[in-house]
Amino acid sequence: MKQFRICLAFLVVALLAGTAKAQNTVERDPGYIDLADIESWFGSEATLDVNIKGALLKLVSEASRHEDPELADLLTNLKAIQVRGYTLTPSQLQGINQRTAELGRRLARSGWDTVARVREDGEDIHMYVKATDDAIAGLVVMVVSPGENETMFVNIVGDINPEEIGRIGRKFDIGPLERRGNN
Amino acid sequence: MRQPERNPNREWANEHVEAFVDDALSSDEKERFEALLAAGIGEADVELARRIRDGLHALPRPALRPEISRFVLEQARAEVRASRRGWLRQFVEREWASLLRPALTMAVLLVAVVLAVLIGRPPVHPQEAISQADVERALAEARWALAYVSHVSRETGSSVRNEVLEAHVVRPVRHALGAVLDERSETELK
Repeated sequence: MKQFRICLAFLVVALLAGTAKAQNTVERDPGYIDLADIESWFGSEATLDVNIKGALLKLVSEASRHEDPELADLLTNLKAIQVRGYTLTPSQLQGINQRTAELGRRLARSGWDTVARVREDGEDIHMYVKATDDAIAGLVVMVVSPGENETMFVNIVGDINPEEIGRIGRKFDIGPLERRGNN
Repeated sequence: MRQPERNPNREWANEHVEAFVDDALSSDEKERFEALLAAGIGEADVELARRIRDGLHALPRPALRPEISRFVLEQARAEVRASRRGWLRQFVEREWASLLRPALTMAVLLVAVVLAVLIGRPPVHPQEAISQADVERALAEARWALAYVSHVSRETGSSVRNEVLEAHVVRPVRHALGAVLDERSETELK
């Protein structure tokens, strides 16, 4: 009987462990932040919603290999790219600035390093990186831009080389991206 | 009263007459028996034994009714099954504590671990479900995200340069150099 009780305990533990593992591994990555809650700040859906991870990220990496091997290598080392863009109304500006600053403080308390915090011409820019032992595991960029009536949140998860991102990203255009609802 | 005289050959012949008639003697015994017959010993016994045997063979043989034979066979099979079950029960009772219980425990644990791994495995999204259009769109979005981060980094860098370096390094140095140059000019003029 005792052996059966031990067996049952193992069974429960194993099932719990399995259930925990069922959660997506990217979401447990130290460089990942959950952007889902941000939507409640604005009371409306994101106008730009980018979620590239898992199989899609691998396919994107392979798709770019022929044309841009450097980009393909960079994407191979990433685990996820998340972007949320929201329309910012003047009445929301103060509240969003406060909430963004609070999110930044929360990140700092969670071990994220503040790379830059710049306020220029009313635009508020926050940049944070999550450093692990010998690499950067995540990057967060938050831009509150009342001049352009938008707020942007970017989270890049994976083995990140900021210099590489800066150099490779410079090759691409940040023109208008196809927005949500325009599919 | 006088006792009849014992004849060992006759006694031996009497003991073996049934076997001789049934052809169940060894070759030596058969030779001995035939030698005795040739000597006139046991002929009448052999004849009597043969008549008895033939008489028995001539009797009608009772046939076993099919239901009785079926019943007997069923009984026999049931007994065999019962004996097997008994053996299995005894084996289980004997081996349960020492072998079967730990083995069963290990088996249950193994099943639990396999179930946990299967349940815990992240859902596999077949790549076939992702269309070429999805990939192209995602590639454009990835490029845009990298470009955006690059742009913000440059913007942030230029802000830091403008606000920090310009205010706290360039201007003081320029001011200091200007002062030195002005002082030198005044000295030269004198």
